[in-house]
Amino acid sequence: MVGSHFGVEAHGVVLAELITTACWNVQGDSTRGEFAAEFERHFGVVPLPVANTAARGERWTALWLGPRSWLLFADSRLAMPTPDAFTTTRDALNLHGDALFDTSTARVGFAVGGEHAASVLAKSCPLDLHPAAFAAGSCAQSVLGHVNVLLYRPESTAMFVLMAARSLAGDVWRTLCRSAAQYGVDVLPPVVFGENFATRTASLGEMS
Amino acid sequence: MLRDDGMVMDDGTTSRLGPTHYLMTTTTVNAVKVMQHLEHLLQVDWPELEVHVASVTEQWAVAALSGPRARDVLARIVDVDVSNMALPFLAVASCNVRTADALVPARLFRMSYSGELAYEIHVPADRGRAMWGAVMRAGEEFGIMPYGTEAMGTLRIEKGHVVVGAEADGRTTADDLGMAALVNGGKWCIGKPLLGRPALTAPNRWQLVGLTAQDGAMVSRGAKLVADPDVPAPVPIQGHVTSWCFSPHVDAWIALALVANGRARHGETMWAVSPLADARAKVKIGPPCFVDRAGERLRG
Repeated sequence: MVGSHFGVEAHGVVLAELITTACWNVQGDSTRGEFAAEFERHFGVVPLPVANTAARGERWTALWLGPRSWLLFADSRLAMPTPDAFTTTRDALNLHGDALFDTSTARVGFAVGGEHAASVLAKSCPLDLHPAAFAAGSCAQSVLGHVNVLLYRPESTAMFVLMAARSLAGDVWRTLCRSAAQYGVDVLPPVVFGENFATRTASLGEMS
Repeated sequence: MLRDDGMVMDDGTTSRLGPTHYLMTTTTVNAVKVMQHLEHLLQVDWPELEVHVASVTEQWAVAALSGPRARDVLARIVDVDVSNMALPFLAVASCNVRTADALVPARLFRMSYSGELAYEIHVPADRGRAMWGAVMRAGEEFGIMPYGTEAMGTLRIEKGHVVVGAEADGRTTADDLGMAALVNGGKWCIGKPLLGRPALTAPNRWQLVGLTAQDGAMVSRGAKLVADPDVPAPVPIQGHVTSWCFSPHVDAWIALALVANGRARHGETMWAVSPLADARAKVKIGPPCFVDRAGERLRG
């Protein structure tokens, strides 16, 4: 699969599997005065209160899911947090009435890049993905066709991250390949969450 | 789980994993609906409650290991005591499963959709295949084999386990389904107040029964139950079939059905008729459980 090319003889889109390690859902009362400080203490990143924004820290990236819910992705180049680290963090959050859920294996991820990445997604996703409306650091829950997805545009890159339920991975992959065929698709080696996506897009010589 | 009006809405399980940590399962088709129900309750009805809910449907891969040798197979692959004393019916345990190349953290739930000695083995979803392989290898000497939804359906009908959409069709109460004990405990629950309405406690309510077809006949789902199909129309309808299958255990076609005052009519014969299929079967009413009524296989 890696190294394959689909569709026309052009290189308009790159696709890659996205490797993630830990993915934890924090739910809590962000109106509680100490919440943001405690969150930052645990994860090294401030939980942004603005809807559909992502904050990247050294070890964790926090995606806003709702007024009281953030999805944290560990930098997957680092060692995976241990079960004890999860339990300790969860217990500390519980003390304040907040919750931590491990959803590390619930989703699969894809990286979609290249000149026509937004057009590919636009075929099946109703969101406005133009950089003016979906700037770097944006995230949103939407659909790709009939499948619920979480979309994220990391900073410093035009690449999109697409997360979907594990059991629908094949469905999402097929949709992406079919949608991208008219632009020419190249399948890159897996991307690791946290790495510099821009360097991957550049690896085949097309613009990022 | 009941609706506000007292009707059964969903049929699932809730397990306590810690002092303030629970795992809830639902019937498949209601997973989203129950999640929305919980979210609605927490956001609208009881916002003062410090409770958070997350869907973990995709986080876990689960296998149901069932049958008389289920414990023997399980014991070979997990690192905890799974004797009946250590892991009785409805117990939960954390453990590790020995797969081909790693120890995989897992949870065990001793519960059974098919109503026999059975366990659910939950592992993180990316280790599901490895866990399945370990189970199948461990079970080889006992003749283990995968089974699908048709077999599952037969097993649960034989045990009288109700299903949302069939027996729990939005018009039945827990008492109709023979599960009044779950609701009648002292505590309040959603739906309980409206269960006191006269129509829901009327004497002739349609109640869950089992049917055994006589003379080799076949019962069909949705068949109407009548005393005498040959009287002039309109023939008084006294119930309908909700689920049906051929039971290898009973060696006959069986069914679950809702029948007016059904619990008082065990032993009676009626006719299950399907005019659209031009079919009829003489059936005998009995308890809605055809196998292991004492639950010895389930709890042993």
